[in-house]
Amino acid sequence: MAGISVVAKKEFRDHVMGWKFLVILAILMLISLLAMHQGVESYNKQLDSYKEQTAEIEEHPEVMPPRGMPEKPSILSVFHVMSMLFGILYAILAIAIGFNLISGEKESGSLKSLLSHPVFRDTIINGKALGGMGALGFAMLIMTLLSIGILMMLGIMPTGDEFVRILVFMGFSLLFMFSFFAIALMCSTITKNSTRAITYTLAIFVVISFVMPTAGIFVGMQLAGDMPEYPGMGRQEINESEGEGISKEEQIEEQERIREEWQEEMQEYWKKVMGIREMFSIGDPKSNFEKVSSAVLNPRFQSIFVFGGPMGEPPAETSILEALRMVWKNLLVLLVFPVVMFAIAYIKFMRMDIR
Amino acid sequence: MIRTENLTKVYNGNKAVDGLNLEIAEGDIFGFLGPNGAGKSTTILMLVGLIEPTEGKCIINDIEVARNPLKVKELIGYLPENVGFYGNMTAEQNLDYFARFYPIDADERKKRIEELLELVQLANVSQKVGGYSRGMTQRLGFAQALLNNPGVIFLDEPTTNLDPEGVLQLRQTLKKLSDEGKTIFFSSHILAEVAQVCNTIGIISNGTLIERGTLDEVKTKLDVRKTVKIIVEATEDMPAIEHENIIDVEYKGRRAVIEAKSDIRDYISRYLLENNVGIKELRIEEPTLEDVFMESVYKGKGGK
Repeated sequence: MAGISVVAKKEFRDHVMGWKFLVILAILMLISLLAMHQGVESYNKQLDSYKEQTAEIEEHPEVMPPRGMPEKPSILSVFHVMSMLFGILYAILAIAIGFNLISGEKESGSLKSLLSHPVFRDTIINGKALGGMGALGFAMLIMTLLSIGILMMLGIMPTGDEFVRILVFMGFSLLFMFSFFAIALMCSTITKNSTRAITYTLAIFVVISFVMPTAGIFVGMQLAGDMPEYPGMGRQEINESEGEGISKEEQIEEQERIREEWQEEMQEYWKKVMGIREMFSIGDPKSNFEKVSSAVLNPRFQSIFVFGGPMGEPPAETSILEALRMVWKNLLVLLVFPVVMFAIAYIKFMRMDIR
Repeated sequence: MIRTENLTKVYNGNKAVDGLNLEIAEGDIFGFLGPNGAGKSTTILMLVGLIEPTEGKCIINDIEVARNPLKVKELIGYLPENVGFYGNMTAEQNLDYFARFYPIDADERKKRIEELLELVQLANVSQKVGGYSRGMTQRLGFAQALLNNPGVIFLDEPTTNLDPEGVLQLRQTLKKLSDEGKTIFFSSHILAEVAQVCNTIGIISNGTLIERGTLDEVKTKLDVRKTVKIIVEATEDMPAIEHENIIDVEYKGRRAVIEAKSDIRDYISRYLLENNVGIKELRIEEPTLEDVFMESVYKGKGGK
């Protein structure tokens, strides 16, 4: 255990004092500042609009607002935007930290020197993993403190629930980074040098995060059959039908029925397509992170894809636990993925000849 | 004491080391000689527990390396070929990192590191190891190998990258370590290096140990020549010498170099005296260890 802490401390220090880490963290912080600034501005506008609408409803309770009941904006939407922006940057930071952890030491010869001293191999790989995860955790801690600090500086105090959701989101962001860190560590262990390690890591990143989901949509659209066409009548057709003795109200009613049927078919179609896409991107940390983030950061999260929908009351709020229950599969993959990658790296490292 | 029993390592169907049996006594400076790719480094890597043998075993001070690598690593020091360090750290930081894996307290660790840096003349170097020359890195590698005050030291091509002063200093240190009773396993492809410091040697070629013993023993065993070279120098012009055992003679004024099937110095001296020619020099030219090594490893016995 003492050995692991020696390795982990050295690795942590190397990472947080290394230029790669500092440059990417600086970029993350800069983008974070911009995103927070814009997000808070948009949040304030939404809040003003919400206040106006609710005041109007209170004044005229008999009049139904044209776009349904207004939804109170949440500061969580700012973090939702951040999750979209930061996905790739988080992955890059994690890859930058992990890709040469083992291969770099093989190349420099320091691994041979290190292993000639009384230290178990698992101590080294575990220590390296802990040090790397610690550095990523440190980056995430800075990002969290920065985000919450900016909110407070701008006079926005998250509610208790929002605060918990922000912390849980940051936790999952860290888990997402661990996934790419583990891929990079695995590639660093199985390859002979850092150039190959980074090439393999980026290839895996592109395939699982971009190629597979896109292929999933394509295959989904092929397998789901033809997209349902809207069979409704245009205004001219309604006018023509009126001449044939069918009242306008009847026609509108009929058209509403047709629209609802089409909506159901369309919903079914997209459900199939998205189901196939999800199958293709089951191993994609980015897709799973986005889904889990949506669940955590959207208090009115709905697990299934909804196309259109009736106007009126917004969907009911879900607790964070309920939301997480809805995305348990994605959460499980997000947890299992780094473990599997690390297990491959571990087995390979334990068995390899150090020449 | 170092012992290997039928030590074998196979890479992709090729035997890098093939049934190696070695025994090196405590306090010996053993020179492990062989051309590049002969299996020297692979043997050392198995001895220090960095790679597992395909067959056979390595035993150091009665401990089998593959079964108890950590215990063995506490007893040994190892300077790898092309030793590497963490370039972002100073020599002291590098040594301190490695030393933390030993049960040494902080004060003792600091003292030991200072002594070692002094020994390898890196005590006042504050720059990071990334900026070191190859020679400096090699010297730091030697310090690293002595970090735990080991009883058995493995040095893989230790003079590589060292300047003449560094080589001399290394020889002196090895002599001192040997006097302290430490066993030293010195691998090299340069015979002159090994001959300077080692009292026993082993020659490996194509993964097989072709000879071992003291320098003289190895020379005698490996000398497979069927002829002797006799150098004769007379006080006046050399007359033509004839004998049934003479294969070839090269005359140069008063001097002759004779290649014969046997030592015919008795006959030559009688013959010259009978012809009233004084003898200034009459001797057999012995092959050097270098000649024997080159002959046996690169041309003769080395091939499997």
